[in-house]
Amino acid sequence: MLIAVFLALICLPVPLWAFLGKGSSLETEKLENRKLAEKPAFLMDKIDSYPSDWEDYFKDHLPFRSLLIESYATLTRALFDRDINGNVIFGKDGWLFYSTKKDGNCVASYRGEDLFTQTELRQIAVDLRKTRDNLKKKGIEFVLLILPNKERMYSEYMPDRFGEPAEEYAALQLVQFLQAHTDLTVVYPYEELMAAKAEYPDITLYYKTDTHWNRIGSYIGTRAAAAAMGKELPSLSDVTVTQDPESYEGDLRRMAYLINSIPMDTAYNIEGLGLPAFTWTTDETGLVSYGVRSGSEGDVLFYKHDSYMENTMDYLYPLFGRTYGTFHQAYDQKMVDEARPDIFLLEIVERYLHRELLNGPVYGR
Amino acid sequence: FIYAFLVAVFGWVLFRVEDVSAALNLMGRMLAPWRFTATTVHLYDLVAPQILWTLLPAVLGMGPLRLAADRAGLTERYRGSWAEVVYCTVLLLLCFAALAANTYNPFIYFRF
Repeated sequence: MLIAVFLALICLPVPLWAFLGKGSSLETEKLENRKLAEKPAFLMDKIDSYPSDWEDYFKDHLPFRSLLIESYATLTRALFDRDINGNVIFGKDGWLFYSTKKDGNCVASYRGEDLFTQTELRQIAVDLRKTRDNLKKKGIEFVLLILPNKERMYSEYMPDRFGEPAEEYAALQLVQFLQAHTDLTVVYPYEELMAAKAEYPDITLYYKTDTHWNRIGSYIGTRAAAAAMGKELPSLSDVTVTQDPESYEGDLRRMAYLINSIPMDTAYNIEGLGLPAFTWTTDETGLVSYGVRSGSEGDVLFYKHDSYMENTMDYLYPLFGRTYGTFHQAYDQKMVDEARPDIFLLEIVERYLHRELLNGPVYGR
Repeated sequence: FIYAFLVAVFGWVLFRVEDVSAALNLMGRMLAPWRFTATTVHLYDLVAPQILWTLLPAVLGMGPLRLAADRAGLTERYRGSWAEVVYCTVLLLLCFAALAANTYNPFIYFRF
């Protein structure tokens, strides 16, 4: 009997999947944010890689893969309070945090374990001054915007095993160094965000189940950056905040593969801003954007950013006649020469500081 | 057993580490861990709860549980029974799930 059951479990999934599984692998592709491996063609000139290519294809198209992964993720969370691939931290009260070491290191930042050396701080200051000076020669103002990680902003929801957030950490270290030793325009809206968090305890500034800030947090951060660029946005107390519960799919919820057991996040919106309308388009990669305010008159902004820009667009782009935006990985300084902006805004979230600022000047290398 | 264990564990160091000085350093830490306490690596970063929970069945599976089951007559009672089939089926399905979970490789942003 045991042998018969074993053989059935080994042999039946493939034909069962052929009947039942059509379309299910697409769900996994959407969750993983990558293209699943395709079935390799058997070609003599690729015979060496054929076994590994086939293995990759088979792993990505295992029968009942989604069901198995979700079951394992649910069980692992229930028994061990851990996720299945080390990317997600299950915090208190349903808060999720980002624990990967392959996309910045939020935990190291939280613990203050990734401090810059004095040499690095000096080099960053030199490179940023060079960037500012090179831009200034072309009549372009330079503003640096550093954004705090979610783990720091909502440290009270981090699991106890991580302790309190470090009092000395890389972002603060860098901001203080630049403010003390340079005349660069540096915006670090940590205090503004914490003040808003205290003033509006019923509103979150970052998504519970996503790595990013939400539209409220981004409004506060954008408002601080806008002020540094000579633009004005109303105070949060002068606008209307609306919320739409369980309407936002958090990326951490997806990464933990618990989309059926963790409810969707609350999305917020701000009304009554009175900002001019604008339109925007992206290139085919989605990494480069172009925004035009109606009338298109006014300053031109060049915006080099990471994904924290997503919720800033609605507040930032209408402040400028035209905005050229690019993710860090798609940036080429020729874009700046072509855009001929008035202001260059460099936005970096805390976990990417080492990755983005230790490579030399951003403009004019 | 102890000899084989020591040979395997220390032999693995030579296999894994790229140079002799690093290997000797690692072996020193293995033999006298109390001398190397200053670290930023936290225990729970290296040792997941799953590993700790695995230690108990690992120890029991080395013999004590089987001896106790034999003496209580449980081995003969349940051999070939439906309970054994269900137990083994559940274990096999858990293995399938663990293998499938190992193939899950998500990214925050889409990778083409």
